[in-house]
Amino acid sequence: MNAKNILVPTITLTVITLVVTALLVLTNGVTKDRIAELKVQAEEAAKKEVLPAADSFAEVILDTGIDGEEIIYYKADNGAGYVFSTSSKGYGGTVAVMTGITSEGEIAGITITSQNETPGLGQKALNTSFTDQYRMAIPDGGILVTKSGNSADNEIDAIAGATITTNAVTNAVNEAINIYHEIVGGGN
Amino acid sequence: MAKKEKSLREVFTAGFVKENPVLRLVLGTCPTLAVSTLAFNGIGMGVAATAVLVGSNAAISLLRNIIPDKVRIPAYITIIAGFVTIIQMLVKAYAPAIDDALGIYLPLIVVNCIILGRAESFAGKNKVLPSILDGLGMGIGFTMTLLLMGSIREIIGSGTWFGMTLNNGSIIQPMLILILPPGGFFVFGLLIALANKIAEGKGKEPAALGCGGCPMAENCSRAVSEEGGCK
Amino acid sequence: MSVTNLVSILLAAILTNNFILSKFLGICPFLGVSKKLDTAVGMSTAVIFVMIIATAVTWPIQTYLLTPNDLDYLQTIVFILVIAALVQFVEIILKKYMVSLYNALGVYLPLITTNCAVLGVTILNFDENYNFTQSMVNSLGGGVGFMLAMVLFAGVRTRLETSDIPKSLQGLPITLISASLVAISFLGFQGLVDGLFK
Repeated sequence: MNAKNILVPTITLTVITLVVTALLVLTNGVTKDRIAELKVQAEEAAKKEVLPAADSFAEVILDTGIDGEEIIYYKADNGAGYVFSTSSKGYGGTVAVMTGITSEGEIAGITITSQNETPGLGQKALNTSFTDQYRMAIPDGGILVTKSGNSADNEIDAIAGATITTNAVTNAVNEAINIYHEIVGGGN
Repeated sequence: MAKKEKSLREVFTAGFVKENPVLRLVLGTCPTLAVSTLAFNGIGMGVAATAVLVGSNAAISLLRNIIPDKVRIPAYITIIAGFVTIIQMLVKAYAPAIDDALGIYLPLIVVNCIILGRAESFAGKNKVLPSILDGLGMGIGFTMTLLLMGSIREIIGSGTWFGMTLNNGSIIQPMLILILPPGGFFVFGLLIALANKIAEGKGKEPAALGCGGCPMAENCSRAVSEEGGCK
Repeated sequence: MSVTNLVSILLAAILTNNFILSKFLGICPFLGVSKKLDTAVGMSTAVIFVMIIATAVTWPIQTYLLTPNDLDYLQTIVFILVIAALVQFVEIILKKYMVSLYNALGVYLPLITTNCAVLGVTILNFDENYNFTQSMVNSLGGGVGFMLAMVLFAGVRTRLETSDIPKSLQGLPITLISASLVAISFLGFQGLVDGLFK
């Protein structure tokens, strides 16, 4: 009796679990190709967006020599420039930014590829009116953030009430600039 | 039968107002507060949760005579988790914008008390068609509440609705605080106060954190004993 | 991953991204069990306990079992079942070997199984790409933040008991509105972590 009391529930539960898992494997089989495709499409679209002059990209792996850490960036096949994927900590988590820098040292554009910022506030960073600000020749000493509203050539106007998000995006872009300097300066 | 048989129509419409899962049964508070920052997010979550609710209610009702009582809860959780994962994959593949909008709250549907609560208090004891209707009704009630809260927070908090700018600061400065976490608590509290007032008018009890049939209810009351935190 | 990095993760989880007041994870116990100080402390200790153990178990499972085998989509179902099993297991062990601890925490354990906070933190660790140590610190911070919010709120609710509240707002509404005020006070911590570590 005791064995039956334990055996039947256990078997039922196991069967249910197996059936559910089978369904999941099935659904995964149906959807995974499309999900992967969407991801690649989104990435390619983002790269084109930040460096419109480029046609296609080749992936390059750069060994920083620190702790075996590697940086992956994208070089335009037609020599138009480079695209970097960097990130920085924002208000709600990591903010990932793609930056396109031409071979003349000008930021052609940036786009935010992932973020968890506050809707209606930090998410204003997604507007082109904000990201367009980053289109400039690379300034010495990197890009700075100002809240005063009157930005100099090397300054970005912070989003009102969302300084943390603004700083996160700016830090990510500055990091991209640093990598660019390393590649170009290192005679790559 | 000790209790009156509810008509199918009653079962379906119960979740809209009378037994609204959020404002009356006080279930699913976590996602309600989290995704009601934008009306669009509210609808996205509502639709996803409804899909899971209908699926799990149907499955659990179908299996209600086979699932032994001892492993009731783990079995429910497995089935619900299965549906949530399926919806997750479908959303990622065919509506990625919703996946971005909901973030972590999409997989968290699996611990949404509404779903576990309805499984326990309805689907486990009723036939398939009523269970499906119950799931659909509760889901619609959930979605409507999310839409209401999301709209209030979005319109007053940032002057837009579904992304369309209604007020860019020309009429009145948008009140940012409503979109931030405190705003969520605040609007939710006021909505429940309103619902209580209406319920009082009809001679009903005010909403309390009664866990509305959540299977954890008996643990809740053991935890708070005479405190009465969970009825 | 330096000590500074870990401390900043800890502070962020406790203060600036408080799990209850900022991320809305664990609202049910927050509203239901925060009326008295001792139940608030008991519940939050149980939450810290479960969060840490859950992370310690789910992190290796995802990193060494699910991801290498392309089974990421099984994360939700595996995590919740693991957490549920874990809590059962812990309850049994406590009952047998640490009776006093069981008497203090045991009753809250089943409540935490289907709780947004525990499942939430285990998934969040991967959303943020934390390694094992960072994940453990994040969970600890999440749990401590939970306790902080619960204890503070228990104090607020004790005061509410002796206040005169309009009929419609009595019960849940005034609790939620008080919670919003506590949440506003936590907004003040914005920028703290960045400011300390830059």
